[in-house]
Amino acid sequence: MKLSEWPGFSRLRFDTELKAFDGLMALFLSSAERAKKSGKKVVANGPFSPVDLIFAAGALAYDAYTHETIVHAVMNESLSMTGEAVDAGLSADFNPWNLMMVGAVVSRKNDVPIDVYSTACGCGDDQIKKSWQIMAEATGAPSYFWDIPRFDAESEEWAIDFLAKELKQLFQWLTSQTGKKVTDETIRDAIRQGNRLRQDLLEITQLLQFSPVPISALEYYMTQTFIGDYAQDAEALHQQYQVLLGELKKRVSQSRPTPGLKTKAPLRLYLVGEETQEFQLFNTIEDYGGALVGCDTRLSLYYEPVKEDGPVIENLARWMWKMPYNLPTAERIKATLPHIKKQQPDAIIISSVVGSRNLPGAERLVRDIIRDELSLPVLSIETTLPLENTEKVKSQIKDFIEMNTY
Amino acid sequence: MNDNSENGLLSSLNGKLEEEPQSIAEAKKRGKKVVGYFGPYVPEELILAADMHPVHLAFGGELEPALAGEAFLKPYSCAYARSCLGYRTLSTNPYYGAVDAVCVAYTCDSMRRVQEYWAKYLGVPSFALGVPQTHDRLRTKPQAVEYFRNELQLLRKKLGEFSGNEIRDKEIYQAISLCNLIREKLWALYEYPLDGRSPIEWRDALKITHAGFLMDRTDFLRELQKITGDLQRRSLEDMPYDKRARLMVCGSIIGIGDHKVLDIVKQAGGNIVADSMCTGAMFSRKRVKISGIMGNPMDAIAERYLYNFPCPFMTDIKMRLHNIVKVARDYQVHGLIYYSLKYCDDWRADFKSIKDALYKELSVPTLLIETDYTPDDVGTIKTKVEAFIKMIEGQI
Repeated sequence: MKLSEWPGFSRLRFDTELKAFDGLMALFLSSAERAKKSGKKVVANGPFSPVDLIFAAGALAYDAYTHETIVHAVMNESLSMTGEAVDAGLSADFNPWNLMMVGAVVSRKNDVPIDVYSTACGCGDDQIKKSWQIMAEATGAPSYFWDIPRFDAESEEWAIDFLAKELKQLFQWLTSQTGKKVTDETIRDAIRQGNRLRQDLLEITQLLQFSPVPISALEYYMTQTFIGDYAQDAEALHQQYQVLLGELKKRVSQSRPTPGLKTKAPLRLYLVGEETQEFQLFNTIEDYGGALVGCDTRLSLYYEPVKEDGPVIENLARWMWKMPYNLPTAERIKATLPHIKKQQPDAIIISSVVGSRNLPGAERLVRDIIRDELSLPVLSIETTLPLENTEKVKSQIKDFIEMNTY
Repeated sequence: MNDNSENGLLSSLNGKLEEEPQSIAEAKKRGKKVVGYFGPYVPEELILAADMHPVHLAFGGELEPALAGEAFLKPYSCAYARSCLGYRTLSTNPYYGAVDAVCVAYTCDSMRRVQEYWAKYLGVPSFALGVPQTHDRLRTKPQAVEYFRNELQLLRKKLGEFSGNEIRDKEIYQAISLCNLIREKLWALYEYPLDGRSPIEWRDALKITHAGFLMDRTDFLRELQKITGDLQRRSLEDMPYDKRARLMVCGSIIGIGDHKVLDIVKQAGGNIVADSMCTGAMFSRKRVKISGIMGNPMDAIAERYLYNFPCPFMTDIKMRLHNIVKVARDYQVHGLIYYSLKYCDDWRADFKSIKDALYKELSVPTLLIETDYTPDDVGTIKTKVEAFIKMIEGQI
């Protein structure tokens, strides 16, 4: 099926010259089939929980939050599923990613079959935790929650100790579900695979430092999104990322811009914050004379590689504790600023999802810190389900780009 | 039916409460520091042990502070969290204006943001306290209490530095003793409505609890002793059985001054006899128990606060259901009023499980009230509550 044949995708402009993206999409769309064939347990994993842990236990990690929403809301525009989530116990005021995912799962229309549920708590986002609770209850599947303690330099000693113990118990539980023993070696293998993908994504992002940018906003955003669960196959995803890197490097060497760009000197925009279901936003940026040069909706999870030598569980614990998502807002933004600067943006867009209490709650802090530290213009946008506020966002982006293009 | 709010029982307490802002202002002039705290996981024992005045900043129910809080949090954050910021910026509430520092337990997403905004924008030191979320009643995660104890030790150190008084065990023992006495007296008030003839209504016990969030704790204990003494002298023999529908309330925080739903229930003829709320009976539910003469007070505090009652930001829903069903059974309630502040995700998501458990175990129906601090929905809520009570009355 061609991308344009999906109702939601038919409205979008893809870069049809970028062959590697077809491979990435094929990987995304074959998740269910590959999961079934693998004979492995599928563990639905929250979007802020590192997936390396699940692969270390011989299971397949599945980012139901992102995958189910893209399939049902963005591609198929089956938005009525949110009603099923409300019937199952979520408030209609929850963020639409949770509503779509829970709706799909409780109505048994989930794209990928899920055997068990597990997610981290503590690093923010109560709605994820509650969605996992409700999905497990509704489907009668086992669930397990583990805790990432708050980041505070003064708490380091006991926070790491606590988290390491949490991870050990998580591995015991995963073993009880998969029948596969988790060893230092299986963890190290999973970390290596994860690090390799993080490195791929960093290299792809580095190419956006060039002008003209070699990849369109939409393809870059989706490419980043796929890392959420390694597409259930870290090796295959790495291969696809390598193919993509090859294509992008070729464009850079030929100074060939991505076909989406509408101007030779676009306004370089960096997107900070939450994932959006409003995929048209990315076309809009280019339609009005902008270019996306970076986006940290997922990337901030992957800035640092996990240490591969030494005590594996403690290494993982330290890495997770310092994940940008687990930092207080001020530290989180300050940790991401160097990465934003490298992309040489002219302006910043802060993306919030209506109904989320996570980033939107801290939006003022984020905005003020970015303005103070980078002295760049900032636009805050809010999106919800696809097409619900397309026109408003379009006009905000249009005005913002016009105002800041000289 | 006993309306004690206007009569003698609470009059002395009410008088003291009116004078409290002035007393706090005078104590501040004498050098006493005032430390506000948010949520039921911050042990006020530590603030008292540092010779500071603890204020549980739990006001709610007013529209203006919630709107003022939108300068920081989005309108789609709960009105209580927004008010935690709005009260300070409006300068209309003397308690929020008096605090020299705040302690914020890391519970839900919005309260984390409240801590960050107090620290960056409101000009007072703000101490965060990490609280584990995934521990369970079976204590299969000993690391949780260990972590929490260390977080409390850090808070103790910070409060000590802030007050200029090193917090010694001796002062903590004294504070535990004071707080336990308060809990014991408060808990006794909530036990009266177990019986169909009670000299005090749950609503008055709630008012008394809320006064204790603000007042000097020694003065408060004195007032509590007067109240409990007075109640003991009242004879239940002459009191008729209260035949109104017995209701329980549970859900999001009902802040100090958040009367809307409680007033509607009262006007509709309902009799709230029990609750499962952090600003109600649960505040005084469990004592801090120090085991033996060698027991460590910090261990005892960590144990009490972590395992008192699992708020819905914690994942132990089985324990939460067990506790709520137990309260409903003990108090022989006929219906549950589920108070859900709009955008309070944790409580809202537990609604269905709690409703189903209560019905399955006790055949007790539940009414969901989703509201905030605007007066706009009074009519709708009134209609729902009246219909609910009428339905219950038809069954008892």
